[in-house]
Amino acid sequence: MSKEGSAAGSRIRRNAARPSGQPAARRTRTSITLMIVMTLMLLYSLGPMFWLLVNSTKTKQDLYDTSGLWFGPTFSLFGNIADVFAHDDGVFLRWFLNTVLYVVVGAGGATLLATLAGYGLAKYRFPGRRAVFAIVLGTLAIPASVLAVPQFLLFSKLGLTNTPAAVIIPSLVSAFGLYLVWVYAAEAIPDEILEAARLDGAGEMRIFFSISLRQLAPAFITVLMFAVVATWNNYFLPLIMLSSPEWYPLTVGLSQWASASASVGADPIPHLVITGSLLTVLPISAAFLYLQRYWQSGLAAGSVK
Amino acid sequence: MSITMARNRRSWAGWWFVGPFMLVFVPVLVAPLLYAIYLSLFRDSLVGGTRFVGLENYATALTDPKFWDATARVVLFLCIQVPIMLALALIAALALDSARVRFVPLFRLSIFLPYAVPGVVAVMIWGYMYGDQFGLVADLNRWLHDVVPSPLSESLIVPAIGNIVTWEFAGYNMLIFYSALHAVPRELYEAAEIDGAGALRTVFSIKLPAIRGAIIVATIFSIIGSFQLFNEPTVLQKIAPNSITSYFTPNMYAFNLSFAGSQFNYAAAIAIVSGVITMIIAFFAQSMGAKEQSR
Amino acid sequence: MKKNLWTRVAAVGSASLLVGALAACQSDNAPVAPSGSANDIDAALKKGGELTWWTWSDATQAQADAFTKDHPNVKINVVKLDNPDAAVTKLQNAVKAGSGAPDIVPVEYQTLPQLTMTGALADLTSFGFDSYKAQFTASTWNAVKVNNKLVGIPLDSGPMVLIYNKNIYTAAGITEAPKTWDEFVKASAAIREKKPDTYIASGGDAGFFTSMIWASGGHPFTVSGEKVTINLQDEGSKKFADMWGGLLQRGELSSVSTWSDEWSKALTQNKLATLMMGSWMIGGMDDFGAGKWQVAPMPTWDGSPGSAENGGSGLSVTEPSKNKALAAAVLRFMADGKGRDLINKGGFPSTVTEFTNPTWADATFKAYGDQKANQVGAASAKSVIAGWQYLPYQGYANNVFGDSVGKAIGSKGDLNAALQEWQKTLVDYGNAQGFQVNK
Repeated sequence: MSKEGSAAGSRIRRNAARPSGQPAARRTRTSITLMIVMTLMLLYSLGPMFWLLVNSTKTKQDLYDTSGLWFGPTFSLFGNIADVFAHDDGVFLRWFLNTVLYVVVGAGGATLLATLAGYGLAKYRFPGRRAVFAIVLGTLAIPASVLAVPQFLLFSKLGLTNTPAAVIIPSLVSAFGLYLVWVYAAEAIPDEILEAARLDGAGEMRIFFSISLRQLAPAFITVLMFAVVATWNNYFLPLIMLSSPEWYPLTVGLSQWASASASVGADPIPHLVITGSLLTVLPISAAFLYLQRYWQSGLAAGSVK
Repeated sequence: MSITMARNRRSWAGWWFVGPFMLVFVPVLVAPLLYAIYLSLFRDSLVGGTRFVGLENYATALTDPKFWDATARVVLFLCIQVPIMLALALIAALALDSARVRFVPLFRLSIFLPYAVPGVVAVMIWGYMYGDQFGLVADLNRWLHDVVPSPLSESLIVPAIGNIVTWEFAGYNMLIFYSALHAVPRELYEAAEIDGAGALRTVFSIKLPAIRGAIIVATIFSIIGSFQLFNEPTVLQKIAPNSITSYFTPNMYAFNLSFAGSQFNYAAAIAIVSGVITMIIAFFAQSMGAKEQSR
Repeated sequence: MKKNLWTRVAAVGSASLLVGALAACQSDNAPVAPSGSANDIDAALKKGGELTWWTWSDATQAQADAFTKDHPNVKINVVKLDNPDAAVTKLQNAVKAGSGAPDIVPVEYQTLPQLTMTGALADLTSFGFDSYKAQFTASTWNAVKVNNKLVGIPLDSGPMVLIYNKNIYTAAGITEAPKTWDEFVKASAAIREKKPDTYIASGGDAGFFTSMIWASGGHPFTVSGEKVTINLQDEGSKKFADMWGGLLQRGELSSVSTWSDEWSKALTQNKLATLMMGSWMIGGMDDFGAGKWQVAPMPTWDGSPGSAENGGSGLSVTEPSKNKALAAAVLRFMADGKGRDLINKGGFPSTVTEFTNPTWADATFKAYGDQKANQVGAASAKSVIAGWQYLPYQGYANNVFGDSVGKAIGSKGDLNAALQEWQKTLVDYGNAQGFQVNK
């Protein structure tokens, strides 16, 4: 079996990927114009992050009293962080763990399902294949918030609203992921390998897990990252499906904190909202830093031809 | 898209792979969609209850000035914001790929980072900065003597939202283009260089055609994204209630009709019409791209 | 987890085949349990049980704890929602879906008619709460009676007061709070002249507009069963729109949105001089600077006292609740028992007896120095103009307020024209919903 695997690797018309960050042509000189352009884009991208960082170091009073552009007189980042975790009996940590649960189960499941289905669509002819494809692509254009009402009513009938399942089940679907894997699998896995494996008597599932999955790894990682981001940032659906804060993800929780000032009998806590936002952005940024090298090659897949 | 279909036997084996996906897909997306279509054939009123009205809701939707106002706004949005965002993404990707820029990993990661910021948080940050009386724009105006108009005013709110969306997604598209450029075989460049082609000519005659597929995909997804514009204006509405109407985008209109106006049936019709328009435009964009390609 | 999930996925799958059947279910929301009498409340208390109580206030948990301390066999799950709007949306969704509704929910006075209309709230008339009528202010008791049904008990109240930054006013040469709207307009011009980047007030939202029209003596909404009359150009509405529109067109109103962070900043940095809000705001000013604020009665057209309610909410039992009698027991506790003291500690009371309670009436706040601010609110409660009605679809009305009037505020346009446009939307919507509007 391993023989076939390596044979597969060599036979694939693999994209001539270069190691990232090391363009082959070192001969050319650094362009000042391009450096200026890129620096401007960097400032544009990081400017708001800088604002977030600066303002998460401020006390509530300084937020109201001082300009948002620079640090306030009191540096209370650590105090704010402590307050974020202490507020409302530490509900922030709960939201954090919820989000992790939704990401692990939801994004993980979505990636698995999309990979399986994309591969199946690319490599098998089966009754209903065209219909599946048409339906999946067709639904891509239907606005998610439009389906929200019927989705809510349906989930409600099943008694699933206000449970983690109401957030997880819908996030198990990644039509874009399916599309990506489909395109990638069609290119990256030659049918000959599958035929050869079948002649060896391997079952379809065995072929998938022992041969194809390895070839699909870049696409898998890509879909996984998209799904992780989508789930981490998911706001609209949990907002509708959940009513008790104990199941909120971070996004909904933070927006609740943000609008807490918009009613009577609730104390405005902008400093906690800002610091909480920073704490929400950090883990996903760290995940990017770590995963982006794996990500590179996979993204190209969506664009082949 | 030239998918070479395998010589595989036509069998049910594929369902082992597609089945699990469909098992979730059908109840989560298809069933609500059918339900929405069903709902759209009725009319429910606070007094008098529900009655079957056939296609009346669709007739109303097609002549509803608010719906067309919303649709016109997202079309305008996508005609301006999508090209700007994709152009920025493309320029950045080409620059990173040109070997004439240093600190590539730093730029790549920094420009991409906004994508990791949850939309709600992004709008909150920008919303603060847009404040023309006490926010960042106000600070700027104090220095620059009132040259910056308020981004939250009615006339500038669409560009203001366009900026937030661009900020969020330019880096994401850049990475798609950059990865696609990575996949372009080296030999093509070398051949061009031997022919004496300049950098710009290489871009236009080799690099761009080579990643056309990626550009088409990014365009289509951006178009769909524009039509589904919802989170940004909805969150921004809290701080700019006088500039963002309840029918600012088709999606917001449908949402407000159903959740604030209890007009679930009419909202379903609006949603379906809007979805169909999106599909038509996306299809149009795709076939345009395909036509170019075959030329 | 996974297995559980898949089981549920399968359940959804099979259920989705029944979409049609599902849709049929929605229309026949048969009442789950009938309302009962005062005796039923005692019986329910003896039996005990579990209740869900939605809220947006931080104070509710303490109130629930006080109740369960007295009645250990009752368990109350307090669920905190974003804000009143979120509560309305979620409640309507839950009622429509036929599951997920709480037993007890606070409802803003202005949305009580709408939620009653949509069948979300239980009729409490038979529980005999009418005996509490005398202890509440007239306007709040009037608000919880909808179509002659009692649909809640008043929690807090919001008789309007004028909260002003005395430093800004003094700097502009104004030593006393404006008593009439003419004085208010003059004060605005004076403040403007002294400090061009300071505003007397901000444009306002739907709740503010309706309350200001109310305080100006307007009665734009008249509801009698399914017959609705809307006239946003009656004398009171016009008077207010002319005055406010003048300020707006002279650029004297800030465009900052109430409750936004920018708004908080404006109050703290002395850029926004006045708030006209329900008295519940009296206790909420400490964050915006100590000692610089004062509370005054609302200005009026002729200088004699006249006020309106702004915000405030009642506590209701939902129609889908399976244990209405037990939920009613909580309401009784909140109307009469120890719950009342806890409410009054957190918000501005709706009970008349509290107004003369010295601990309450003589209380001072950091924001106002030594002013006994609550007394201003109590006086306002007594001068609330009677006869005001909200639309049976006020939630929708407020939601589309921005499309017409809000737009005019943003573009410094004509407020009277905008009110007419708002009216047209509301008339069309009402007629489409089966009401007889302006017919």
